[in-house]
Amino acid sequence: MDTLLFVLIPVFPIIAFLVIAFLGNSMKESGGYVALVMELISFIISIYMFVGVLTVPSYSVDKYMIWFSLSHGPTFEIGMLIDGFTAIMIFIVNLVGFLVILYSLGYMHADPGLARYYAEISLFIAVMNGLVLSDNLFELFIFWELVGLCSYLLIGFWYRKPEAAKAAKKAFLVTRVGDVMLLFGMIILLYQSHTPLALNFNQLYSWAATSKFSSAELTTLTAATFLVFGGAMGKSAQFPLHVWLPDAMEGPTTVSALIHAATMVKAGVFLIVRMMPLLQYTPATELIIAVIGGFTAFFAATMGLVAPDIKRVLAYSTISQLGYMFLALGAGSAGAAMYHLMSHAFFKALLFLAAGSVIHAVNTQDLHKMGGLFTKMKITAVTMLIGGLSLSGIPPFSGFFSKDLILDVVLQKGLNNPVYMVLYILAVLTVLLTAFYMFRLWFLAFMGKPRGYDEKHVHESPGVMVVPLIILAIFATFSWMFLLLPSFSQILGISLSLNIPTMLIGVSLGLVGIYVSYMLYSAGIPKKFTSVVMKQIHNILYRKYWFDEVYGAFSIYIIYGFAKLVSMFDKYIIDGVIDGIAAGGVMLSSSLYPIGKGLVKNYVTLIISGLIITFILLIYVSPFLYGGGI
Amino acid sequence: MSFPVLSLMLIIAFAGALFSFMSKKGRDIALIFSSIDFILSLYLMFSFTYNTFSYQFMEKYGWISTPYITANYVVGADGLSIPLILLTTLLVLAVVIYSWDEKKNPSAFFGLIMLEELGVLGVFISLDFLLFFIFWEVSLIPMFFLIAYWGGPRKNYASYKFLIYTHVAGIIMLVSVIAMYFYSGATSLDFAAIASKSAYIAPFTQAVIFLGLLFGFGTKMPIVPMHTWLPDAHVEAPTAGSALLAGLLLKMGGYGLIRLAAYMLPAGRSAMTPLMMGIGILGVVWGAVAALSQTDMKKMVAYSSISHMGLVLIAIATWTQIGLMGAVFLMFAHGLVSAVLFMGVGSVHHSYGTRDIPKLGGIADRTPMLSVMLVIGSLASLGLPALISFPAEFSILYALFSVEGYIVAIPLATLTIVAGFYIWMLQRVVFGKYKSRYVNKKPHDISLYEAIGIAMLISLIVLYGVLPFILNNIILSSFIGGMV
Repeated sequence: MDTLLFVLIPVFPIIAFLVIAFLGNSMKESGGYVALVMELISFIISIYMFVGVLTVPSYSVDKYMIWFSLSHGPTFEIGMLIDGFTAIMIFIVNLVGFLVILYSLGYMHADPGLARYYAEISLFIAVMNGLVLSDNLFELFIFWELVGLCSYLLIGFWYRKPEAAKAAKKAFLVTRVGDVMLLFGMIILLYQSHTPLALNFNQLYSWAATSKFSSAELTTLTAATFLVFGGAMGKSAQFPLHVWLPDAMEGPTTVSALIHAATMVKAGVFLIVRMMPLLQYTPATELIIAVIGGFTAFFAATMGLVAPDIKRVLAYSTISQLGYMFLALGAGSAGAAMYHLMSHAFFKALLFLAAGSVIHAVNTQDLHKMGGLFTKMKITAVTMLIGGLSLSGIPPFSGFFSKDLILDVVLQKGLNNPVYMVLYILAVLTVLLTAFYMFRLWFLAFMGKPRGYDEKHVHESPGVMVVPLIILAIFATFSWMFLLLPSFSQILGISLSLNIPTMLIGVSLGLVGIYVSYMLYSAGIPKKFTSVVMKQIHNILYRKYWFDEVYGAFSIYIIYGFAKLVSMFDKYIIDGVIDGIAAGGVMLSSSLYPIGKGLVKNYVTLIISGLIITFILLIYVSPFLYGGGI
Repeated sequence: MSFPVLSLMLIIAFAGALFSFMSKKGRDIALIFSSIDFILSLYLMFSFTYNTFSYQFMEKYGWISTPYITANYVVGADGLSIPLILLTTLLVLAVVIYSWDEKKNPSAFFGLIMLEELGVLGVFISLDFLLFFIFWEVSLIPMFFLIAYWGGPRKNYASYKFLIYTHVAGIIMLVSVIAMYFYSGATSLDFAAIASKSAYIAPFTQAVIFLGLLFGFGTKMPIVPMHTWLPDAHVEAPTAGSALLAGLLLKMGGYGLIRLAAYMLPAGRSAMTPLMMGIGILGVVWGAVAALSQTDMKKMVAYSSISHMGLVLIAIATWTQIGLMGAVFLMFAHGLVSAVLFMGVGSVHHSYGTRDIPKLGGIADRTPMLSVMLVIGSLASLGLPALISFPAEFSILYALFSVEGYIVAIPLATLTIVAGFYIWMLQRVVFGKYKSRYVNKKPHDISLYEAIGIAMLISLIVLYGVLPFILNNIILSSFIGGMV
C-alpha cells in the first residue's frame, strides 16, 4: 500500500471547505456537489485503505515529520499511524460522511445558509479524519478540539434561534471541561514518559511495556489515564458530562447523524481505544471507565423512555450505547468496543436520517404530533424499523452481535469481579429499556392515527434522501458479516462467539421491551399514569434528573456570583484604596493652599517659625546625633 | 559594521511621527512609514542567523562618558526581541489601516501612533539602560494623549490613572536598575556590562532589587493587584489605542522582566519564584473570573489580557527553556489576538453604537463579516488549537507542571472559565435573535479598511497556529538556548 496516499483523506474535504468558504456565496446549491465529490474521493481512498489493511491484518505503519523540537525538552511531530483500528474508523467516518452529504442535498435544500453548511460539514469530516489518522496524542488533541469547534458551529447552525445558540454554547463548554482534563492528562503523560517523540502512540506503548513502574509512578500514570478518560467523558457525553448531547439536537438532523454516528462522540471512544495498551497497567482507571460506561448506559436509557422529541430519544440512545462501548473498554476489550462502534455507526446514522426524513415530512419533532406515517412513508418506516431492531439487539441484525459481544466480555470479567457482575446486570437491564424506548418511538411515529400534522403534504422523501437510508439499512443488517472475515476478527481480537445463554437473555429481554411498547403505544398515546409513584418517576425522568437545573444554578450562583464578587473587589477595594490615596493628596494640598495666597503676614510668620524650629533642632537635637553643637 | 537596520527603523518611525504631525495627510505618511518599518522587520526576520545565541544587528556608538556613569547608544536584537519587533511594526501598520477613517484631528492621531511605534521599538532594541529608559518614557506620552484626547466619557480619569500608574512603576524600575548598577560595580549602563557582574551581587540585595523590578515591570504587564488601571484605560481609549496598549505596551513589562530582572539577577529570581508563581496564578484566575462578570465587551477583553499576562509571569517564573519560549510566544500571540478583539469590539461599537453585551444580540444577521472576525478572535484567545495561542499556552502549562507539579490544575481549570466568557459573549452578542436594532436601526458591516486591518492579523494568527515552529525556532535558536 502506498501509505502517503492516505494523507489525502483529510485533504480533499479541506479543499472542499476552502473552496466553499471563499466562493460559496456565489455557488449556492452547487457547493453541495463540491463537498460531495471531494468526500467521495476520500471515501474511495478509505475503501482502498480498509481493503488493504484487511488483506494484511498485522499492518501498522507510522509516518511522521518533525514539527518542532526543544533541545531541553520534547520533540513534537505530526504524522499518521495506519493500522487496523485506523482503517476501520476511517472507513466508518467516510462512509457515513459521504451518505450524510448526499442526504443533505435533499434535506437542506433551499436553506439560506447552504454555503456555510457545506463548508462546515466538510471541515468537520476532514478534522475527524485527521483525528483518526493521528499518530500521537498531541496531534490527536489538536484535531479533537477542531472537531469540537465544528460541532459547535454546526449545532448553532441556525443561530437565529436562541435555543440553537444556547445549545451550541452548552456543547462547547461542557466538552471543554473534558478537554481541559485531557490536556492535563497529556501534560502528565508527556512529562512522565519522556519518549523521543512526544506522546507518539507506538513509543508510549513500548515505554509502558518496558518500564517497571514504582507504585508512585503507577499512581501518576493512573491519574494521567483517568484524566485522558475525562476528555473522552466530555466528548462522548458520558455521565456526568452527558448534558450537552440531548440539547445538541438543535442543529440540523444531518449534523446530528454525523455527530452521533461518525464524528464527535465517537472520537472519545476512539481515543480510549488508542490508550488501551496503557490502560492495562492502570486497572483503577479501567474500573472507573467500566463503571461510568455501565452506569451511563442505564441512566441515559431511562431518560430516553419518556422524551417527547424524536431526536432526543435517539440522543439518549446514543449516550446509552456509548456507555456500552466504554463498558467494553473498561472490561479490557478494545475490539468489542470498536465493533459496537461500527455497528452503532450504521444503525444510528440510519435512525437519525430516517428521523430526519420524518421531520422533513411532518415538520415537527414532537412524537405526540406524529402517528400513522407507515402507509405514507414506507421506505422510511421500514428502514427505521431495521435500525430499531438492530439497536434493540434482535438477530440477525448487526446490533445483536456487537451488543452480545460486549455483554459476553463483561460477563467473563464479572465471573471474577463482583463489580463487573453488577455492571453486567445493569447492561442486560438496559437492553430491555433500549428496546422499549426505541419501539415507543417507532410506534408513535408510524402506527396509530395521525395526530395533527398536515396530512396532505406528507409524502416519501426524495431519492437523494432515501438512497442513503437503504444503503445504511443494508449495513445495519449485514455488517456482522465482517466478523466472518478472519482478518477482521484478527484486527479486533474478537470472534463471532455464540454463547447461547447470554444470547437468549439478551434477545428475550429485547423482545419483552418491544412487546411492552407495542401494548402501550401501537394504538397511539396511552392515558396518563394514575398512580402517584409512576407519576413521580415519570416526572424525574422527564426533567432529566434536574441535571440542567443543578449545573445552571452552579454556574450562575457559584461561578458567576464569584465573578461579580471579584469585580466588586477591583472596583471598591483596590480602586477605592488608590482613589482614596489620590483624594487624600488633593485634600491635603487644598487645605494647605490658603497659606500660599500672597499675604505677607503669613509668609513672615512662616519664615520666623521656620527659623525658630531650625535653631531648636541645631541646638538641642544635633548634639545627640553628631556629638557636638554649634 | 553592517547596514544599521535597527537605527533606521527608529529614524523612520520618528520621521513618520514628525511628518504626520506637520502634514495634512497624516494617514498617508503614517501608512508609508509604518509599511517601511514593517518591511524592515521582515528583513530582520529573514536575515536572522539561527543558533548564534548572541545579539545580532548590533550598533554601538559612544554617548555619555563620565567617571561615574557611562552610557552608550547600543542597539541589537536576539530571539527575545525579534518576535516583539515584528509584532510592533505589524500591529502599528494594522492599526494605521484600521483607523484610516479617523475624523477627529487625524494628523495628530496618526502622528501619535507613529510616536508610539518609536517608543516601543526603542524599548525592544535598546541594549543600554539609559537608552531603554528614555524610550520607555517616550512610549507613555503618546498613549496618554490618545486616551486623553480621543477617549470615551471618562477619559480624564482613565488617562491620568494610566499615566500615574505606569510612571510610578517606571520610577521604581529606574531606582532598582540604578541600585543594580551600583551594587554590581559595572562600569557602564550597557546591559551586557551590568549582566556580566550583576549575578555576583549578594543574594539578599538581589532579591530586594528584583522585587523593585517586579513591581516596575509587573505594573506594566499588569500583574494583580496593580492591574486596575488597565480595564479603565482600555474602556476609555480609542480602538487604535486599545490595540496598541494591549498589543505592545503590556509586552514591554514582560520583556523587561525577562531581560533586565530574571536574567540579570539569578539569585533574586530564585528567591522570588514562589511570589511570581503565586501572583501569576492569582492573575490567571483573577483576570478570567473578573472577565466573566463584565457587561462591557471591551472591559471583558481587557480582563482576559490580565489572565494571559498572568500566564506569561508563570512562564518566566519557571525559567525553563520551554517555559520561556512559551512566554515569548504568548506575548506575541496575545499581541495579535487582543488587537483583533479590540478592533472587532471597536467595530461593533462603531456599527451599533454600544459595546454593552445585554443591549446587543444576533449581530451575525446584519454584520456577518464582523461576526466571523469576532468569533475567530475569541476562539484564538481561548486557546483553540491550530490558532496561535495554543502552542504558547501548552508550553507554559507543561513547563509549570515540570517545575511545580499538580498546581497546574488551577490555571488549567481556569481555561474552562476563559472559554466560558468568550463563548457566552458570542452566544449573547453574535448569535440568537437580532435585537441590536434597538440601538442602531441601520448598522453597516465592517468597512474595507477595518476589515483589511483585522484580516492581516487573523491570517498570521492562523499561520502561526498551524506552523508554530516559524516563531519557535527564532526564539529557541538564539536567546533561550544561550540563556537557560
